[in-house]
Amino acid sequence: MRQSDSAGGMTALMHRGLAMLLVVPAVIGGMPDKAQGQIVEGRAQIRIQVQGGEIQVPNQGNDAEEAEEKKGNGGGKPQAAENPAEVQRRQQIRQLANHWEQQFTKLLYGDLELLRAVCGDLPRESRRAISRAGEQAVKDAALRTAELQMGGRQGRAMQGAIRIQGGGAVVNGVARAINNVIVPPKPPRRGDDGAAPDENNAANPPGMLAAALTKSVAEHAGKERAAAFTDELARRKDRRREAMIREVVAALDGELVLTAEQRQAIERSLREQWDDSMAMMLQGMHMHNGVRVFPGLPEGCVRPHLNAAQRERFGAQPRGNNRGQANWQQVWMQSVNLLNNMPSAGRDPWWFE
Amino acid sequence: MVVRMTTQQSTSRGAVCGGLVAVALLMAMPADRATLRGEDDTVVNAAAERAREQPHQRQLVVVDQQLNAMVFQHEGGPEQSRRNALARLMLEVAALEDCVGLTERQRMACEAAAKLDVERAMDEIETVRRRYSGRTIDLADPAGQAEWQRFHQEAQPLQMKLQNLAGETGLLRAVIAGILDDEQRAAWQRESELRTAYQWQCVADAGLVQLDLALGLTTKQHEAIRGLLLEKPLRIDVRRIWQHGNHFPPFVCGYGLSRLDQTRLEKLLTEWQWKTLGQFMNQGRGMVEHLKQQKMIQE
Repeated sequence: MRQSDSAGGMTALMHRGLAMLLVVPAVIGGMPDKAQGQIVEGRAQIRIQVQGGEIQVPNQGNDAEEAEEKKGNGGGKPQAAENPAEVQRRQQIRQLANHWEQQFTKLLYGDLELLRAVCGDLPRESRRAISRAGEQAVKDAALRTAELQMGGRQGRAMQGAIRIQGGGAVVNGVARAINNVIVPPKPPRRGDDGAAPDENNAANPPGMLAAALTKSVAEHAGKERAAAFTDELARRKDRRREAMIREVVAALDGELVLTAEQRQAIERSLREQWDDSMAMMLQGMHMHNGVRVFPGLPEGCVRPHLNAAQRERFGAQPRGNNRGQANWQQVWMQSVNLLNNMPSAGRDPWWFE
Repeated sequence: MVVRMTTQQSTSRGAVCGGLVAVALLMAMPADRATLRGEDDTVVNAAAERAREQPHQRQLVVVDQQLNAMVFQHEGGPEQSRRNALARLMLEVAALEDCVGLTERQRMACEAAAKLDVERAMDEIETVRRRYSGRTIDLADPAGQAEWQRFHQEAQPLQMKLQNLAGETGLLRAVIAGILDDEQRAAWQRESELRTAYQWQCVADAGLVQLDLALGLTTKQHEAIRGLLLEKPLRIDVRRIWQHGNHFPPFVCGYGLSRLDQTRLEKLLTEWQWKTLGQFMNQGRGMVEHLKQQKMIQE
């Protein structure tokens, strides 16, 4: 078993021993009927239990789901004492989820207002159903975001049954045990066309909210209105992209004194190659010898449109870390953080009464 | 606490009572008083005594280091700053040449003016630096605090001096206005107006992105509000605004909205949106003094 770096001393020894007790016999076909323990994988500590000869990985971070599991198991059986680090981690997840819930609620109220404009008058029951779906989506998105932040993705990804087969282990049909080490499944990937994580992906909580609302609108107000809502969201996204492109060009203008023609040409080039992760170059001011630089800015969008003096000042731009899961989180976080300083007028009673 | 004892003849019963009273008094004394004091004892405030004896805790600041940090931040020192400032002004000249087609004589005049602007700015900075050269200020001392205040008043205007040499008070600006013919001047005026309009458009768009999310604006509402904002631009310094990323544009936009015809604006929105926008505009109004002080808004 691989051991986390932070585990040490007696606790680590106990984990190793317990894990060996469970896995080694499984590999050689001698699985105990019942047991509980932990696998420590990277930074994640994954609780496991053995029922009827099968190793199971219960839900790692959701108290409500764990309560359900307890009910399903007869409700009364006492569980083994939990790892204090895991308890603390779940508390931190709850605290983070509360914070994200407040932020996402601001998004929800804005989206509901847009829906109201799109849908027009709706019966009270439909309004309540849609707003409830929105509130639930906010809670789900907040929890998943908090879990992502606390490295809970591995735990959730491991959820499900681990079947031991002749020395191999399969988790949800993907993971396998190699030399007694369980390999977790790979994190969710971007689409084949290189687009941002899709709306239901845990890496895009605001997208999750929009998807939940769209689904509820289709159910309670009709597919036409849902399509109109989706259309408005797409146009809002386009406006956001345009604003970011102009922000990049305005910053370049500040450094390079562009003509109107140059600004238009650079905007066109950026539009052709735009990827939302490029917005990260606008986070903070990156300077090199007193000249602002733009990490991750495709130089091909800018350099061909500059004169000789401007090219000399523009210089080589550092590579940004624009790809990768962590950066997608920062991209949508930008949207959410926009509302940090934004006061809220609270709920629109039309939706909630 | 002072205890007075008087001696007197007393019966044995009185002596016992007196003893009992003394014991009761002793027991009533606060626990932290280890000793009884007499009338001639002097009460001493131990804490004040300790403060007087402790050496004065100084908070020293080397002034010319502070000046360097304030004026040449991000630039790597005075020489690099000078080169950057000159390079930027030369880009202004190059842009002018691209736009209006300068003669050789006009170009040389502009380049000379640019160099003089840089030297003048560096001289102003050097004058302040010489005044405070080698000086150390103790911020824990009231006299030091007053001196620090004076230093800040002199140093703050120098902070963005080198980055804003192309402003309206620069020599280059005056020379350009003087040496261009009518046709060149008209072309340059158009170019400057387009740049100013573009800068305001970018700031307005950045603020509207926030409103899109918070108010749930439809496309129609967004376009209408944007149109109103672009009709009445603010005079701004975009370099100062964008220096802080996307932090200030929403406040600038909020202030810009607060200056518009509120009746026209209100008609575009629902009651809930209008209430939320009101708070957004109040934030902008609340920030405007700071934005003007930092010269982000130049009105």
